[in-house]
Amino acid sequence: MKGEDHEMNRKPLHRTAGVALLVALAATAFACGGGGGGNPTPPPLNATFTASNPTPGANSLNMTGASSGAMFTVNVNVTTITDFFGAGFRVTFNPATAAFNGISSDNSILPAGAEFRGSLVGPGELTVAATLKGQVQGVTVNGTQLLVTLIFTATAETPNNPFTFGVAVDRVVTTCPAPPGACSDIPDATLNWIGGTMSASR
Amino acid sequence: MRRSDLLALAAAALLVPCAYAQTTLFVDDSNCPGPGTGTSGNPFCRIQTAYATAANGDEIRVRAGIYTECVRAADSVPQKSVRLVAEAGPTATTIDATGLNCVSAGGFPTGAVRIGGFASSIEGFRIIGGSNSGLVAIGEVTITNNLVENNASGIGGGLYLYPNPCAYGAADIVVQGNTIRNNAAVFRTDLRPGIGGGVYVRSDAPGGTGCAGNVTVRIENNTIAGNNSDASGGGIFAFTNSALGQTSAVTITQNTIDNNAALGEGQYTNLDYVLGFGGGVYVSTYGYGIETIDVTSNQLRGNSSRFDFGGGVSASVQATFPANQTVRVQNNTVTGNAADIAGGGIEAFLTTIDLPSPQTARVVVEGNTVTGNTARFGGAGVIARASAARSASGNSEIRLDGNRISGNASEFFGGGVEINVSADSDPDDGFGAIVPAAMNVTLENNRIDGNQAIGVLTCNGGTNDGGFCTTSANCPGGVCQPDGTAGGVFVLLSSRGDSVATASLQLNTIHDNTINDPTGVGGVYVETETSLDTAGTEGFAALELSSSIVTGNDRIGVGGPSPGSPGIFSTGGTANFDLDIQYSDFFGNAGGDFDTWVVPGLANLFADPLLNATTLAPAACSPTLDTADPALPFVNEAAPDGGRANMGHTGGTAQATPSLADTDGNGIVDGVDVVRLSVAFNSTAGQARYNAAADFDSSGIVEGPDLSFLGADFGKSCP
Repeated sequence: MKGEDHEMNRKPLHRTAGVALLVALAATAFACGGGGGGNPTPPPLNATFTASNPTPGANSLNMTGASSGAMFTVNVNVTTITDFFGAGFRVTFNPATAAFNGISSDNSILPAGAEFRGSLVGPGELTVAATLKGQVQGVTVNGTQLLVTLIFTATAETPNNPFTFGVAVDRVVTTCPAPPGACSDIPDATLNWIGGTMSASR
Repeated sequence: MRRSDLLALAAAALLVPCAYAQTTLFVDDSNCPGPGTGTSGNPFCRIQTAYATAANGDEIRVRAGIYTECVRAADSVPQKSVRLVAEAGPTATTIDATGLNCVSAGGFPTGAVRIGGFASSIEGFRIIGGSNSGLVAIGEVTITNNLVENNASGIGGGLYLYPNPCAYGAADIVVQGNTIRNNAAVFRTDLRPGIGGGVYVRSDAPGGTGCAGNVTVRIENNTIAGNNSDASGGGIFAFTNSALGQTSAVTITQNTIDNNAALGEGQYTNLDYVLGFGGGVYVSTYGYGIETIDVTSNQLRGNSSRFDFGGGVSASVQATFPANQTVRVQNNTVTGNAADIAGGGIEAFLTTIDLPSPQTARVVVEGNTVTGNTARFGGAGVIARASAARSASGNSEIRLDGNRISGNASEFFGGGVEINVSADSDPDDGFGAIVPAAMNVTLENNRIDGNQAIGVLTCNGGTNDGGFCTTSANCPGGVCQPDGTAGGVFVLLSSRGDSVATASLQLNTIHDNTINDPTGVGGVYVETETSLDTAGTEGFAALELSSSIVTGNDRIGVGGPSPGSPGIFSTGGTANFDLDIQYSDFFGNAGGDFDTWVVPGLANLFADPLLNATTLAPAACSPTLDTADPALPFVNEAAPDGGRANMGHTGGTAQATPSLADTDGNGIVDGVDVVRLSVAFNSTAGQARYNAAADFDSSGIVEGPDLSFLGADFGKSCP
């Protein structure tokens, strides 16, 4: 199957849709636990996502997580950036034990009309954008705020599936002053990109 | 009717120009011997009787039958303007002049039918047996839905068309929906040259007192098949020849032109030379006026030029001061035609003599599909021959644009295309003036593939070196092998004195052409001859090969004799030659990409262009996208256009492969690109946040469509 077949150019899930998806997936996970016959069905997976640093400093993008059964979400957060306009980055993970389902803009610090996109560009490699759009000033982020939520499913047991933000050439954080001022990228070396780890067990 | 309506009707009636009072005359051979009175109940027996009776504006309705007679509307001067209609159409109504010596009122030979005047027409007849053309039309004439077959003449076997502005002012001839077949133009010793087997067009506007009208001839939607000419123009021979300030035009469009032949000099044993150009169509401009000939959207199949050039079409401009001439051959399908010398599909010929700038002399061959044609020597698909003598006009050139030239075969060189360019500042060898000269042929956006130079078995070395052979046994001490030069494109540049001969090859795809000669060139062959004029000035030649894809050719990609070395036509000369190869892709040419002396220039690629097997368009991840000469326009490319034209035959056109919506050019459309575009969203060129790389449709504003392009490509990548 070609890479294009894996595309998931998902629009942001609305809050209700996101919750419904979570519930449905959780229900499915539980339902699959039953049954009888000759081949016993293995117990359901339970995933856990652990942030590498849940209390990052300024100029950070970090991952935190939540889970429900096999399904887990990775929240990408921004910490203390002035005139934050948007970020584009990769998320890499081991596709042997996790599958990407979509993204959600629910509770994002970015207002309505912002652009949220996420798509696999290869096995275990996700490209994500969460950004304002148009001739506007960036938002000032004080403390740690949610930028975008990535939704995954654990597909196999694993003690350690690392989630990272990829490499410097594939990511950017841009700030914009009030128009018509020009925007600028925050140098990658001054940013802290902090991932996390997923584990799954039965 | 209301009063206002009556007034309007009256006013309209006053605006109607004076018209002839029309009478309808009837002809029916079942009423012979007649003669009849021309009424429906007592029709004339003969058409000619009706003509003699008719007045200007009358209609002659001819009933089914066979009319063995010459029909001459020319017996009055000016000729009568009459509508001649065969009620039952050509399958049931025949004018047969077989064995008759049709002559005009002045005793001159003329067609089985001769019509003319200010507004005449003929519709629905079968016309056969004319020995001086089937149908001669002079003046403002419309010819529709006739079958003209088995006629002959020295000029115009089937039709002879002459608007004649000296008699009829601004006159147009329209030939529409006819079948013109199996007619012949036969050389005669009374200086009848044997031109225009099917149709002869004389579209000249001589100007001057009484001749000031401009003229047009339109030949549309006819079937022209199986006609022969002893000289040029087997199917159609058309020319313009106008005086300064006069306009004449010919349009040949949407016709089916099949299996016609220009027999040429081979027909004669008592003549040194009889031209046989244009098996299907021969057109030429050579006056001083504003002259245009269009050959567009025709289908030409199986035509042949025996012993000469232009099996399908021979298009010629012969310009001398102060001409403004253009011949366009556009959007035709040219298949399976043959020329004994060169230009199996199309010959484009341009010669300028003492034509200064800004006068125009151009031959444009554009958008044609030229496939499966053959030529004995060169240019099996297309030959472009351009020469300038003491002419430095910047508006003189042959352009070959946007053609598909595929699957043609020649014996020696130029299986696809042959280009000959010459410029001479001193054509009279010092006896006349010495004036700078310049000539150019442009080859742009052409697909040239699958053509072949077969090569003739020739002894290489030994005592019979250069002689023909069938096996090496014929070549003592040598080897019998195919001798040819260029499978794809053959270029010859000759310049003498203060002159420049150039060829510009850009945005072409030259792919999978073959040549059997093991030392030949599969892609682009060039040879040059630069020489001194009597003043001791050296000529200059240049070939630009730019923004093209030259791949998969059998033998060498680009080569030929090194400058100064002898070639097929040249002795080499002074080697004042510039070969500029840039922004092109060379890959997979079996004999190597370049001959030993060829030095590629700037920004070339040597990578698989990833061509589509059917269209030869580069794939979405081809390295040839957005890598053509940055100076070339790209606005016609579909968005995202990448801000730069693609290489190859679709580069810069609406057929160009779209680029990835990739703002940073890293080969992947990812989150970074989304941020880049979002920052620039709703900005216009010149504003601080505008980003041309995010303006995928080059509209000058980054907006919704650009975001859509990015959305469609989001996540896509090229390896």
